[in-house]
Parts: sequence; structure tokens; C-alpha cells
Amino acid sequence: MAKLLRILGLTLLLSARVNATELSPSINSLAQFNPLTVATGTFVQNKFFTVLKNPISSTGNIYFDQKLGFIWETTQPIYSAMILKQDGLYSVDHLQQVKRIKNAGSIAAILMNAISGDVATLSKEFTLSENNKNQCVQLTPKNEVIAKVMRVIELCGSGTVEHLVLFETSGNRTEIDVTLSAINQLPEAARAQLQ
Amino acid sequence: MRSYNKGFKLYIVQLICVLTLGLYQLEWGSWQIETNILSLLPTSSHQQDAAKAKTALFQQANQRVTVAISGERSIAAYRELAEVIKTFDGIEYQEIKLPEISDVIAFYAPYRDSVLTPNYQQLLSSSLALNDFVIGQLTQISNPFVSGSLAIAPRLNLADFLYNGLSSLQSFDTEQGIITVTQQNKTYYIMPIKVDVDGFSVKQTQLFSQQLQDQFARIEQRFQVDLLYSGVLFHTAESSKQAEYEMSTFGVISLLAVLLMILVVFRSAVPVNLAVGVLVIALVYGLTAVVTFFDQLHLLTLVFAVTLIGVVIDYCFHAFVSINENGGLKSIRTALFLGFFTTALGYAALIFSPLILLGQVAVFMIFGLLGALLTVLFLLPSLPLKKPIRVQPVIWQITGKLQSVLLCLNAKRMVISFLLIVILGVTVAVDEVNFNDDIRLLNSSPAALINNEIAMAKLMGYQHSQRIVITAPDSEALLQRQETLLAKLAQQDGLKVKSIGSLLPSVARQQQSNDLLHAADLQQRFSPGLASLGLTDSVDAFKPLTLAAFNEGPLQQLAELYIYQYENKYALWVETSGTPLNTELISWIQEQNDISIDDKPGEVSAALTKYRHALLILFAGAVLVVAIVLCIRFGLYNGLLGLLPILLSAGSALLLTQALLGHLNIFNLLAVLLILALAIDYVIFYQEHSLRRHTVLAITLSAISSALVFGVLALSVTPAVQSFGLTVMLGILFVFILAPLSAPKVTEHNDLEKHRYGHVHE
Repeated sequence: MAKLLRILGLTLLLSARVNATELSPSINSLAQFNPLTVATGTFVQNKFFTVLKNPISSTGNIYFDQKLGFIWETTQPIYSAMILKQDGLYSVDHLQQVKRIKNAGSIAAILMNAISGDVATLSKEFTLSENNKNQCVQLTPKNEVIAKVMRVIELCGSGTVEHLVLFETSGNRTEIDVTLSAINQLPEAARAQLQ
Repeated sequence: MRSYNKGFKLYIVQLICVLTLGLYQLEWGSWQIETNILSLLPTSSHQQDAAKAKTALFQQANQRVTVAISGERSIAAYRELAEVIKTFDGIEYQEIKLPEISDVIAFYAPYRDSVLTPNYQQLLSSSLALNDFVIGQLTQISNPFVSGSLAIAPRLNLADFLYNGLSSLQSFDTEQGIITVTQQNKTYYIMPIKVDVDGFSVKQTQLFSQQLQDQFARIEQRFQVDLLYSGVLFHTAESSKQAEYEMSTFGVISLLAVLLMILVVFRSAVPVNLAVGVLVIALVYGLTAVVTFFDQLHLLTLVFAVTLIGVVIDYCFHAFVSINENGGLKSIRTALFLGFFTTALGYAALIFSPLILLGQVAVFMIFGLLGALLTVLFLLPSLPLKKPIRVQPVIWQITGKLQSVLLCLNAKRMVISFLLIVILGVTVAVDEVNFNDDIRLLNSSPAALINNEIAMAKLMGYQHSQRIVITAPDSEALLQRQETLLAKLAQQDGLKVKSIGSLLPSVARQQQSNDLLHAADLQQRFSPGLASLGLTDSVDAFKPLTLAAFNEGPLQQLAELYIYQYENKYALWVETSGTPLNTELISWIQEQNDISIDDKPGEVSAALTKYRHALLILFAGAVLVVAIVLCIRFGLYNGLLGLLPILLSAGSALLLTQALLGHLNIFNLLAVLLILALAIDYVIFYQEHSLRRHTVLAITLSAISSALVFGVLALSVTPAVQSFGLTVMLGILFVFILAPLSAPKVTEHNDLEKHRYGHVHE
């Protein structure tokens, strides 16, 4: 019996070591980005639909403040905005019609955390792994609701997130190049939109 | 060997029949116990269809328990509670199960060109607007409906339809698969629980309620979270516990008080045993009749049925006082029969009342009293008693004094009656009779549970939410009427609307959408946009999406929630929230025969008002019946004289109740009918036997026992029972004082005694 317990103890110890080794990429990944708290910048987005020969490109501005929320503003080819405030997610179309979007706040929050490089927060909802080929961090959703939409999110860059790829379950993918700068306070217009 | 008369033999035969029927019902009967006070009330009479539909559509609401957890460790607390609940039989944690978006899109693919949102319809007039719309959709960072449907519906009308349709039905956010509500920067994690409350015993309701409440308290303490819960289950458990407690406590207290009185009066256990025997038989008769005539036996019926004790004991007292005196039971047979007949007639009027409770109480009382009457008349005289039942001399002495007082009152009856009529008239003139039929005044749920309900309603945004129910003979008519309603609702600003119409339009509407798409296609409205994407596509021929097909698809659960088929008819509901419906909309809905607002408290209060009026008519009818019976038996003058104390007692009891409680309700009127029934017995005995000591004693004992029984009901915490008990108690006291006024005058009394029994009693 004592022998059996010793073997069991050894097995548990070994498996703990193996788990620690498996977790190490995640720990490295966490150190890869310095999370931004208040930032502004621009983006270039290319959406690759499996049924379309060419990607759909768009450009726009990003504003985020971890305390206030997040604005994803598409300016070209047509205006639209996605605004994540404390009380929920809103969309604004090119006719300036504002709509409250239910049950998509978590996806928007993920996007904000991904762009800001807040991998620690993301690790609650995603399993992290490192793509050694391109020095990117891959996020695989743990949550079933997110997994229905998003297969994997890839974050690449040094210091801040510079390139982001969303792999959807439908087979389509969205590639986003981001240029971000940390600032002390968001512009007044952006603050007004978030309050 | 003792020989038994024919009446006794017949009595035994019918007793065996009743007992056999009672045992059959107990073992194999299909009746069940009901605890919800609202189930006693009639469904909306002018819209029986709507009432049936509402019952069918919202029956699940009675099974729903909602829990809201807030605090730092909410998610951990939530997960543990969910795990514990999974181990309970009959209680189910309802996890969110979202359909796969790809399945939904694939299901709608054949109908892709039959569905349009109103917004998309507006775009059809302009190629530019359509192109802007498509580009706007395609550049969104993430829209699974666009991603999933672009290949099969490149005009993106399907993506737009599904995205808006599903969004409009979604009320809450989710976090880690849990519904969340944020209020004042505090996040609440909502857990829907389903409790299997169909057709189980009251004990099981209480068990489920206790199980859940224990777990809620444990989770709150362990995780240091705030936990709010609501659900019909807890109210049912509390009210049934209260009713059971009152039934057992009041029943025992009144029985003991009455039995004690018998012991004091007769100094013998024989009348006690006989009274218990008669009571048991009466209860068996009453219960057997109720479970035979009704599918449900309501607990409140049993609470009201405690009053049977008072009336049955009345019969027993008349029997005990007379059984060993001159004339024996034969001397009171006519009065007992007449009393029962008139009382039963009074109750019979209630059987036809639309209130099930009144019907159940009436059946219980009529058959219970019949059992008691037959037992008193046919069983008691045939029982071999070792020791005769005799009233204690001291009791006779006290009765003699009381008799003198009553004789004095009787001598001044015209003055007393006149004074009472004046007092009642002035009181009514000064303080108008004030009826309040608001059902919420009859709610006896504990304050903590009611506060929980209010807090949960605020949290879930149900405060201004209303459900509108539509009924129709077929599904297409149903969906078309829904579209008419939705168009009306769209006219009110700030009104949020949830309906299955956003995912299942009528076939007519689909045909119209398909026609619009064809027309736009013919006008080349889609060509520029499609060409810029490098795609070509033509509009499909019309293919309707029917309810039957919808029910086979991945959104079938939604159809089950919103649409119900019953008795070859269809019903659905639409929910509005955000702001109350304006008066214009309410008036419009009220004008529609097939559309109605689900407002149970309002409907019940309105029903109470309606049936209060009906009861007043029944009351007038019962008074007329009594007047006729009394006039036929005792002549016009004495008959009307007998009616006077009955009416004065009822009126005085009502006005005094109003003075004490501030208002009257339907249960006070119900009490008046009972006062009437009891008063008839007293008046008939006084009319038949005048103010003889035996009559005075029997009625005094009966009045004391009845007042004890009804006095106990006035202590109930259930407002309906309390107001009933109070009015009946006051009424009995008034009847006791006023009924002797109807007795023949003292000189007539002596002549009567001589005429009937050959002597005047001492």
C-alpha cells in the first residue's frame, strides 16, 4: 500500500512538472506585450472572405481607455463605428444611426484587450500558445459562446500589438495592422462618445 | 334483539354508499390539491379564448425560479450553485443553449429571398444605398451572420434579417456563458432554474422551496455574495404552509373550545363523542362531494370549511338539548329540516357562482350539513345510550336569566328594530360603503418575498414590461395579426418590442418581400454592388417559410416559447418594455377580440368587481328565497319579522367590518351569505319554538361555538380568510341578539307552548 502511494505521489509530481513546462509559453507570451491603458491610433483592415477573390479593405481610427471603453471607427470606404462603453456595446452606421448591441460586449471587450496587448486579462477567456514561426501569440477561446464565432486570434508585434489576425469558424479571416501610441488622455470628442 | 326502524336502515345504506364513494375518490380519484389563490378565480369571461391561451403560453412561468448573484466571487458561487442544483430531482438549472449560427443560416438558405427587414426594404429603392449597406456590413470587424451567409445570400438581406431578428429577441448580455445584467456599476449573474411543479403535492412544493432556500443561504455565506431570488414556487410554498398551519391550528382550537363547552353544559363525555362523530361524518360527506364534483380541492376551501364545525354543532346542540325532553328529537325535526332546506337553498345559489371557491365551499357545506342532519335525525335516536344526555341545572338557571333578557328585548322589538334601521341608514349616509377589489390587498406573501420580486423585476427590466396575447384559428392568420399589432406598436416612441415575428414573418409578408426583391433585381439595383464583389446572383422563386417548417428548424425552441397550439387554435405573445403602453394603444388593443393584454392582477381585480356585483344579485336572490320560505311557513307578518333580524345583522356586520378594516371586499359579501344561512336556523327555531328555554339554550350554545370558530378565522394572516372570519363573527353576534326579536310575543309564546306540547315549560 505504501509503495502504491509513493508511486502515485511520484506520478503526480511528474505530471505537475509536465504541466509547468506546457504553461511556460503562456508565461513568455504574457511578457511579450506591454499593456496600454490609454491609447489612440489607426488601423488597416483586410477581410478575406472565402467566396471573394479579393479582400475587403478598410481603414480607420482606434481610441481606447481601459477605464472608459473603446472606439473602433471605420472611416474608409464607408463610415461606421463600434463603441464599447461601461453600459454596453453600440454600433453607429454611415447614416449615424446608433444601435445598442446585446450579447456582443464580450467580443468587443476581447478586441479591446487584444489590441491593447492585455494578454493577462485575455488569458481568463483564452488558452494562450506561442507561434514560434512568426513570434506571435495564439489565443484559442475557452468560452463556448466565443468559440462559436472565433476559432483563433493571433497577436503579433514587439512591445505593442502591431498585427492581429482573427480566424473565424466560418473559414473567413480578418487581418488588421495597427499603429498605436500611448497617450495620457483621449481627445475630448472620443471621451464624450464614451461617456 | 334491538329492532331498527326503516329510517335508520336507510341511513346506514346511504352512509355506506357515501363512505365507499369517499374511499374510491381517495384511492383512485383524479382530483388534486390546489394552493394558488388565483386559480380559484374565473378566467376573463369576455375573452375565454385569450384566457386559455394565456394559461397555455405562460404555464411555464409558474415553474420558473430566477436567481441573481452579485459580488466579487459571483462566478464561482454561480458555478457551485449550478452544480448542486443538478443533483436535485425535479429542479433543473437551465443552461443557455445557443443554436449554431451556421445551422441557422443553413436552415434559412431556401427562404433567403423571402425575408427582409423593414430597413432593408427601404434600401431597395436605391443602388447606392444598397451598395453602402453591403460595404458597411463587409467592413465590420466581426459579424458572424455576414461571414456565414455571404456565400449563400450575397445581397446580405439574410444576414441583416437574422442579425436583427435574433438581436431583438436577446435581452441580456452574457459573460462566460452566463446571463449578466449590469445595474449601477454592479454586475448580476442571472441563473434561470426550472422547477417541476406540475401535479405534485403541496409537501413537495415546500420541499423544493426549502431545498433551494437552504442552498441560497449556504452559497451567500460561503462566497460572501449577495443572492436575490424570485419565483411563484416560494409564494406557493409559503401560502400553503400558512394555510396548513391555520387549518390545523384553527381547526384544533375551535374543536377543543366547542368540546369544552359541551363538557361544561352536559358534564358528560357522551355528547362530546357524539358531536365528534357527527362532525366526522359531516366532513366525510363534504369532502366526498367536493372531490366528486371538482377536479381540484383548494386548500382555501378547507380553511373556509372549518366553518362547517360551527353549523354542525348547531344541529348537535338542538339535538342534545331536546333528545331527552318532551317530544324528543321529533319536536325539532321540522325546524331542523326547514333550517337545513333554507340554508342549503342559500348555498345552492353559490354553486352557480363563477368563483370556483364559492362553488366548492357551497358543495362542501350543503353535503356536510346533509350528512350532519341525517346523522342527527336518524342515527342519534337509535343509539343505545347508557346514560341520558341532560343539561346541568346550573346551565338551565343561567339560560333562564338569559331568556328573561331576550324576552325583554323581544317586548321592545319594534323600538330596537327602528333604532337599528336609523343607525344603519345614518352610517351608510355618512360613511359610504367602500368596496376595494384590488387583488393585491389579498396577498399574504411575506414582505421579504415580495421585496425580492420587486427587486428582481427592476433588475430584469420587467417593470414596464407587458405581454400581449394574440389568438387565431390558424398559424398564418396568427402571424398576420401579429404584424398588424407590431405595426401599431412601432408608432409609440421608446417602446421595445420582442416577438417571434422578427424571425418568422407571415407567408403573405414573405411573398411581399420576395416580390420586392424581384422588382429590385429587375431594376438592376443589386448589379453594381455584386459586380464590385465579383459575384453574380439571381433572386429565387418564392418559397414560403411556414410555422410547421420553422418548428423543424434550429430555432424551434423559440417557436415553442412564443407560439402555442391548443384545441385546434393558435396563440402567441409579444412583449413590450421600456415604457408603458400609451392609452391610444391600450384602447386599440381593447377593441380587438383576438388581441389582449396579459395583466393578471388587473384582470383578477376586474373579475372580483364583476363577481362582487354578481354576488350582490345572488344575495338579493337568496334573501328573496328565505323571505318566501319564511312567509309560506309562518305567514306574511311573522315571515317578514323573521327576515328583519337577518338583514339587520348582515348590514350591521358589514358596516362594522368596514369601520374596522377600512374597506370591504368580496369575501365580506361571502361572509354575509354565510351569516344569512346561520341566521335562518336561529330565526326558524325561534319562529317554530318561540323563546323556550331549550331553544334559547341550543341557540346560545350554537352562537358561542360559531363565534369561537369564526373568531379564530379573523386571526388568519391570509387577508381573504381574515376579513371573512371577522364579518361572520360580527354577524353571528348580531344575529344572536336580534334573532329573538322575531319570536312570537310572550303571550303568544305561552299559548303556542300549550297548543304544541300541552304545557308550558319551566
